[in-house]
Amino acid sequence: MEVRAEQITKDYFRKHGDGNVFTAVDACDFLLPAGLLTVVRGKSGSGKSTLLNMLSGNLTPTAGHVFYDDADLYSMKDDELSRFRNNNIGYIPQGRSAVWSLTVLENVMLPLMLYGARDEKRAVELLERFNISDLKDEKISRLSGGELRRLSIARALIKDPEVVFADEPTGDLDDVNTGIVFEELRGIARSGAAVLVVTHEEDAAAYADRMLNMEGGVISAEDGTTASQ
Amino acid sequence: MKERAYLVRRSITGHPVRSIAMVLLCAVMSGSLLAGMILVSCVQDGLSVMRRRLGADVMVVPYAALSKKNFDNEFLLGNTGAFYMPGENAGKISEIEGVGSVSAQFFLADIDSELSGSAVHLMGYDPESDFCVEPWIIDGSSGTDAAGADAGASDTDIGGAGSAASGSVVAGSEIKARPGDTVTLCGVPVIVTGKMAETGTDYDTSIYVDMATAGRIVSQSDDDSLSACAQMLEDGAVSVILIAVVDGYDPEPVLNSINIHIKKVRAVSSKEMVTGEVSSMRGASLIITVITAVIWCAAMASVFVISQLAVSQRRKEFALMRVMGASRRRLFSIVLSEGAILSAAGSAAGTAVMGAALPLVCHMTGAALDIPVSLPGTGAAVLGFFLALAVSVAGGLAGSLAAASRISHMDPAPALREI
Repeated sequence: MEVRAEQITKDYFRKHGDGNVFTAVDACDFLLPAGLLTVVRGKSGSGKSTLLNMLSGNLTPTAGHVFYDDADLYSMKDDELSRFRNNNIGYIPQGRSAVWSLTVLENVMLPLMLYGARDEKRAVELLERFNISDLKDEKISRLSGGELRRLSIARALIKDPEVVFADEPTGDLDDVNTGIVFEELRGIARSGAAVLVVTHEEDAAAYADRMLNMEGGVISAEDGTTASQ
Repeated sequence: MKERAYLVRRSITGHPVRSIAMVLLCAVMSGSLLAGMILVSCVQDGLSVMRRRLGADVMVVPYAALSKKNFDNEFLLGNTGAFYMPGENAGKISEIEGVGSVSAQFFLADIDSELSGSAVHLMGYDPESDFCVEPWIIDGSSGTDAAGADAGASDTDIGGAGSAASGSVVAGSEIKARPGDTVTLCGVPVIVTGKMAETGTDYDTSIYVDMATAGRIVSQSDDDSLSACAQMLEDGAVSVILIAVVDGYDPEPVLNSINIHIKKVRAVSSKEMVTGEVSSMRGASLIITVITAVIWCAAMASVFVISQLAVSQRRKEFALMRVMGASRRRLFSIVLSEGAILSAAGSAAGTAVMGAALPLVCHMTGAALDIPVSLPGTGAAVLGFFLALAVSVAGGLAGSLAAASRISHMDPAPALREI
């Protein structure tokens, strides 16, 4: 599945400089090809998370379109869009994100449970892949930052999505765990998924198949190509 | 559906403090509402009881009785006290224009007896002319048929090994005796012939005996409390004369005529006596209603606040569900379901506990406010139960509704970035 954005823009109405409009993402075309790990690097406030959320169907652009193959994401109603996200997109959020009243295993199955399904076998396989299967019945509060991040990745993969988004996946991890996470994400891309990571990590370039920079809402590629190529 | 129900259930058990608080608040809402509704109903029924209890349009009492503290209230509650006037007043009164039925009663004594937890009011009355006691008899009868065998038969029956004579003996609802039981009044055995319904007044701890039986008790008893009335009884004195005016007559002129023509008595209109009680009961009803409303609103506001706080604290969790693919509608239903379950559980618990405690609460309220209260019938109580339950569940749901709406329209991206 290929993700393609055309002239997407995100403006916020708030005091900014002499005006009342803050442009978080300047109008741009963007391509997220399958089978590659694409990294967008930038400082805090550069607009990279805004871009990721628009591409993942979680934030409606002020202008422009986002296509998943031929499907126009923001022409769908909320129920349809939510179902589409659940079936096709894996999302790894920033920070410690989990449902604290559920166990580790149940958190991994969350995308399934939201639509009345349960697949413990698949969930355990993923936990084993990320070396946290012995924690499957534990409460989330017992997990370390690295373990929680691996849980997030496992959860994102529970439905074998074709597209995976990761927002600052290594923000609060040490170097060892950072390496582990990026290796996993590269492995997911190698399996055929389109993977987009937004990060401020300088080391991310070592893992990226495609490296983009973002500053002040504007994307640029390091190798002279554009974000839509 | 099953898995979503599981998510709801885990959320409830995973946040025990929030859940218990919600349940308790909803219990307070439903319990206070049920108590308020039933208490107001009890108080208003008590007013009806008072009106019905009197039966009489006009009551004539010895002038000295007016000195009795809380005279009006005591009279309405059925406690006449040891005041007497000539019995021939009844005959004079019956000749006054507009007077329909006349019946006299005689206060014997307030006695301590194992028949009741409080003092038993022993009253003499005339079953033949009575129209105030008879309407309250629900079991047995006034025993006029048995007493119609006359005093002579009663006297003959007395003696020997404590044999009880027949006569009219009607016991109040709180007297531990039923028709056919032999009870001892001031050391004199008598057979109970009738049992009255609960009135919420001193009628409930009273025993009414016909005058022949009263005379027998007074003459045969060694009880000093009866010595004061022995002579009065012999002289044919009475404590109160109850009057029902002829249909269509205004009690006021009858009352005035009595006050003018009969010496050393005071005639009072039952309506006049009840008026004061009506005001106090209306006041009591209003106070109960206001207190109930305040408690309910405070609990409702707390439910609202807790619901909002609960979802605010879990913004990140709900944002996660949203980006995992939960639609707004799905998120809304998860949050609302949690609120529905907690409010239903709390409301049910509150109505059940208050329902069980209501007889005691009603009794205590009546005692505290010094007004008669009578419990509602089963149908009214059940209706009140379900009404309190429904309103409180709806209140709890409304409190959760705002939170569910807010969280379902939340922008997930900023919430996920929160620490």
